[in-house]
Amino acid sequence: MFFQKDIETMSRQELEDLQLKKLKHQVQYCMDNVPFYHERLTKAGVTADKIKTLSDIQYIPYTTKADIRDNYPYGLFAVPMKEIVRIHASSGTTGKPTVVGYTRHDLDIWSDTVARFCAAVGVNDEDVAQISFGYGLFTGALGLHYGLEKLGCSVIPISSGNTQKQAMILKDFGTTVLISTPSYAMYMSEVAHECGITNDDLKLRIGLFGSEGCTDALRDKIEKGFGLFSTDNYGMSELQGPGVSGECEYRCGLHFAEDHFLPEVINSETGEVLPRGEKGELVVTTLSKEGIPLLRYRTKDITRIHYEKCKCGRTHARMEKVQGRSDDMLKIRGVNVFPSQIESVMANIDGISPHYELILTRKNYTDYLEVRIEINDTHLLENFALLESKQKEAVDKLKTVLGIQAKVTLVAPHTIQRYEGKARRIIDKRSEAEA
Amino acid sequence: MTTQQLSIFLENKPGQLVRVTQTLKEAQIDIRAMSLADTKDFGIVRMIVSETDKAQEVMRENGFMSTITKVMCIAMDDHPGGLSKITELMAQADVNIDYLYACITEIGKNAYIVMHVDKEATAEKVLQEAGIKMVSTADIAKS
Repeated sequence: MFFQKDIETMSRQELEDLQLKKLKHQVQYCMDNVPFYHERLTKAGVTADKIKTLSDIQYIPYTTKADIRDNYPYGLFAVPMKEIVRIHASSGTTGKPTVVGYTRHDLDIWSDTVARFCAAVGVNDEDVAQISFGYGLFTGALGLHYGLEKLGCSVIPISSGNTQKQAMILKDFGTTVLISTPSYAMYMSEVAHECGITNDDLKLRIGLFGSEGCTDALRDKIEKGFGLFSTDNYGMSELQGPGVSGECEYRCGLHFAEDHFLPEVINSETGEVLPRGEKGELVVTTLSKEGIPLLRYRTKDITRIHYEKCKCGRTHARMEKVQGRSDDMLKIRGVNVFPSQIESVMANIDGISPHYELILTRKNYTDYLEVRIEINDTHLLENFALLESKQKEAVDKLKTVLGIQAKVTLVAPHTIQRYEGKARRIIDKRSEAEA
Repeated sequence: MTTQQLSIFLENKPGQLVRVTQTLKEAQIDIRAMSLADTKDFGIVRMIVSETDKAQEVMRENGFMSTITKVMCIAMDDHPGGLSKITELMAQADVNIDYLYACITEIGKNAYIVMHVDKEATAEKVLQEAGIKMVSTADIAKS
């Protein structure tokens, strides 16, 4: 299903012509309205007129998260505050949050792009959508909220938390679409089942999970747990929030809303633009933003982009599921490790739950990784050999995938923290003084 | 004839076992025999209790993971060579003992051996033929 079929399926040629036109306009708009860009672009000798083809984008300097922070809070806004009708901010784990503002037109485009990926998996005006993202400055909840309303769904803005009540509402309100982080969906299905709710009691059919990475293995577990079909979507508050890209029913990559966002992939160390199809850091230029337009924003997310037409008929490019933010990447004994790799190893071992925790410590200048996992199969208690072989299986599989030796600790069920929003599974104690 | 054994998963850290014993105490459940094996990180407590199902229920309520396993429980006289006779019979019948623990009810009189074997039917047969008495969960609950 399509929300804006003519746009989503337009030929590449038409689309790229449109992108070029909008890119030139966005560059001029930044030059005229944002002093920061006026200075940057002037220094780089870039004007809208000099952009003759899409590849001329390479002459525009990158924008980073630090640039947004340096202009905290409103320095990069391109319109006076009377034009801004909404403000969001990123969680900002370190330092000040990054603040973004939306004009009425920005909100309209935001809800269009959200409605696109929702419609792409079959969400329609008959659906009852339960939004279990936390409402607030975080873009996830309100982004999905207005997109789903635009599609005509009955939206339940329950927000996150109070999981037993979530389960009750899932059942009593006949929720058909669940919106949450993958880790919260996993937790909610556990709680629902503990409350005696079976999948037959539920009308759930679609999950729109986002705001944190989710491996295919974890997704399978959630889908089985709830008996639904789910898709992934992508976005970040700096660019707009959810809706920058999203999966269709074929789940072979996340389609960009390419008429509003122009993606590139670069080598994150050298900054050089990579040829189509290569893996690197995603860089996105907003093409329609009025509130806070960004030129070549470095997302720090590692992915690859495919430009072939999709089976669903969409022509808009697809990005591979993000393996991890370059920020999330852990360097353990010099080896690059993404938590998502660990998650997929764990989710493929029977008898343990998908909840896990990573603990990093340093002793004698060497890093140690401990992976704590919950056992959830009582059969393992029959004898020690079974428990030990489970532990060994986890150690061996981690070694194969990560190339480093990790310690695996089996812990009792329900002892690892559950999350109502983004999961925080990494405990890095390496900066603490050596004991 | 089999006996039910409750196995509980424990993390190997201070304060874990006391939660188990307190839980049983509060539920007024008596422990008849018990074994606690450990590795570096975790342990399994195995026990024969007066009310197995109730014990599992209270364990679940208190967040423990447990399972009920069928084991063989043998009543024997407490004298030198008592256990040896049983292990000899098992060896002759090519039965492997996965684990075994014992408890003495009164010194010089009765002892119970709890064991888990790979070939339960064979073990039961040779013990019966040798006139060795096995006890059920109900018997233990009474004793």
